[in-house]
Amino acid sequence: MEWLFYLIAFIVALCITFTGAWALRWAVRQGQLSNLEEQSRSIFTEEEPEGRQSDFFPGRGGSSRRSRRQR
Amino acid sequence: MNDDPKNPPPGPEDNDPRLEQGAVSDEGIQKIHAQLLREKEEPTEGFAPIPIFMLFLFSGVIFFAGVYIAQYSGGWDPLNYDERVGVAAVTDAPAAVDPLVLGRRLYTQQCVACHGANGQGVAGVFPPLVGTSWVVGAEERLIRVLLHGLVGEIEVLGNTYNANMPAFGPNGARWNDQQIAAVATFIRQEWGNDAPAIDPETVAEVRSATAGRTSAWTNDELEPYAN
Amino acid sequence: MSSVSQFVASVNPTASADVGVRARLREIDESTRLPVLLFVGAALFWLLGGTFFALIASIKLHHPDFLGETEWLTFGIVRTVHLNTVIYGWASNAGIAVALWLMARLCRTKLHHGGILMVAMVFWNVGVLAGCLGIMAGDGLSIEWLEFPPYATPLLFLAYALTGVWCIITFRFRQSEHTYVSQWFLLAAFFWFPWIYSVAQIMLVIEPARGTIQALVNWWFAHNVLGLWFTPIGLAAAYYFIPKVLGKPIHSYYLSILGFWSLALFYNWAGVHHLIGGPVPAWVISAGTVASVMMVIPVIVTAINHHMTVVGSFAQVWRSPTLRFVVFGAMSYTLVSLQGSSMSLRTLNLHTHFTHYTVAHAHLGMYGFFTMIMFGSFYYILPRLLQKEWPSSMLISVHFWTASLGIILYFVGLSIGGLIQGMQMNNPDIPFLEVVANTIPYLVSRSVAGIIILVGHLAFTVSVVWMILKPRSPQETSPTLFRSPEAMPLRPST
Repeated sequence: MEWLFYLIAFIVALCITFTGAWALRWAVRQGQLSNLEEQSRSIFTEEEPEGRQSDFFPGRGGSSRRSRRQR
Repeated sequence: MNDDPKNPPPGPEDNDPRLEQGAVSDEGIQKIHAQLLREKEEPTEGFAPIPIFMLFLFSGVIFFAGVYIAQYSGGWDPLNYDERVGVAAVTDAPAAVDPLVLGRRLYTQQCVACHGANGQGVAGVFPPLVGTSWVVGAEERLIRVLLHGLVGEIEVLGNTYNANMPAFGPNGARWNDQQIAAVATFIRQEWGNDAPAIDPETVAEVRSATAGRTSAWTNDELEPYAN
Repeated sequence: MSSVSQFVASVNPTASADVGVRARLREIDESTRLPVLLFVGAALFWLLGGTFFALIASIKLHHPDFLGETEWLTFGIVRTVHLNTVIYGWASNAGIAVALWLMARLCRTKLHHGGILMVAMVFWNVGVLAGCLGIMAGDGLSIEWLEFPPYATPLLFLAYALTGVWCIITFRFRQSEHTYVSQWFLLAAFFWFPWIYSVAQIMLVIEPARGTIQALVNWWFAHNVLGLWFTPIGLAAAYYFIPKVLGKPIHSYYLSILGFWSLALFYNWAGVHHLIGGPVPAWVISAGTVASVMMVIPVIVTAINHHMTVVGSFAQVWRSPTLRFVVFGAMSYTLVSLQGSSMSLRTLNLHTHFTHYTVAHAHLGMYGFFTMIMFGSFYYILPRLLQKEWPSSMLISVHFWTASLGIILYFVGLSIGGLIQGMQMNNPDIPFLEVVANTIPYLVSRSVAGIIILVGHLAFTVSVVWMILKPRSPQETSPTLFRSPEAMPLRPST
């Protein structure tokens, strides 16, 4: 029985490796690995745009007069 | 902050869109948005090169890894647990062991807590090892005590003690013949004691004679071996 | 949602063309509210519990009689319960909470199938509770990091599988074109953990492998819980929050992708270095050591990336509760990883193995790195979920200073103590009991550090509970943390 055990473990390990290789290939073909500097900006949105800090200690410089006026 | 606000660094930074965005005005926002939207369409170069020092670092790490695994592969032998094999030809011929050195080491590890650094024990609790026939007397009784331990009352140098001596043989610390012999020799020749050394062969004899014993000795059981 | 879009339009009328996008981001946060809050709540519960057990265990090491007469509070049980509550209770719950929120946000999609997550959360925490009670009742297994009795683990695995399925569903629903590096880390973590957990369960508990293979599997698993589960989540959060809060993209995105793939390649080999000196084929250990050294590559890459992103903006880091914690965590990651690589070398391992030095290392990793990043993430996430501000700056400061100083004291004290202990244990002329006695001052310093850390955790808990309970002020339609301060423009990066 033990050989069966190791056979299964070996197949699972192969599957894991294959999945990793497949993910890498998928990324390349999707263009995930090109145009990188531009894509690093994908975390910024209109709501929390690039160039603005988006987290402060409460009450310390967080609320500015400008945004109140705008509202 | 390494830049002085009073002297903004000249040059391209002044055109940095992020700088302008900092000084927000409605007009500014619109301008920047227009810029950003325009820029998104432009294809930019994909790969920023790795800093050169990192290439060197990576090469160094990979080189080290190669050397290390070659050095300590142990011949890639699944039955070889010693990574030095094949490198510095381990000729594990056991070095001759000085029983007094080994004995002192074992004593400081295991015995000193009760019997004390000077072999004086603790008055009324743990018996002394100096000058008593238990130590410098009959070899067999001493070996039996070391192998299997001792419980119950005993008399040492006119005082009565009642404590548990743990076993260091098969039921206890599992010391081998050489270790038992070394400790026995050490306590027989230290602190002014001057009795002949005990050799491992004697220990082996006693061990086989008492094989199968699972409990500690009592004073009465050891009486026949006192001389 | 008209009120939301009205609000968005009212804040910035010039961007009216983008109302849809802006509203969507807020909707995403709102849709994740309940599941994420549940996981955060559970994490906090286990954090406090785990800290109490840690303190008891720590005090017992220098005062062995402390609570010594209570059967279920002996050292062997207390220490095990501490380990399992902080690993599976605190860190995993917190990691899942952060991962859910990040995943939904980065995929730009509202949370689908929140019910799956609720069920998973219940199963997971019932499993942890059953496991801890089982350990206290004496049913614990003697396998490091897998002490939970067999009746608790299926619940954990089921919960885990549900979370992983949810993660894949969300990824398939993604609206974003690009897969950000944090998503790589998160997807990989959710892919790796079921693998290592099921393999370890099968090979150690259900159908135990023979001989030293058990030891190999055990340490492969235990190290990979750190390396393939907590580390990816921590790094995902760091790669998101550092550029996000500062408002500038990561220094070199290319390097971050390189860091991900090299971590994926090397980390799961590294666990074997725990068995140096053990009865394991020499080449296996050497391979583990080499993989540990190769981990220098992803670590240096990550360190440079984070450092170069932050450099020049330290004042901004200081103004943000999130970044204080996250940057502390990122720095700890560099330190703890390089230390780990060095400890895997046989020469140093000779002195540090089986000493408190290893314990200090483990806590720098799990607390200085992972837990600090989780704290930082919570400081960013919770205001956005609840649409409220944190109630008190002072509580945040207390939390930051106690947590950071506590872990520094812990790490420095135990590292020094551990090195001395290692040197003395290798000196055969020093009796073992003397070596033990010499560690007592350092063990006391650890208990002091633990008390300091506990104060911080209490402050954090008060903060969170207060924030949840306090009414939303009518003017406060969004946390002021949202409002970008024109008072503080981003300096040009130099």
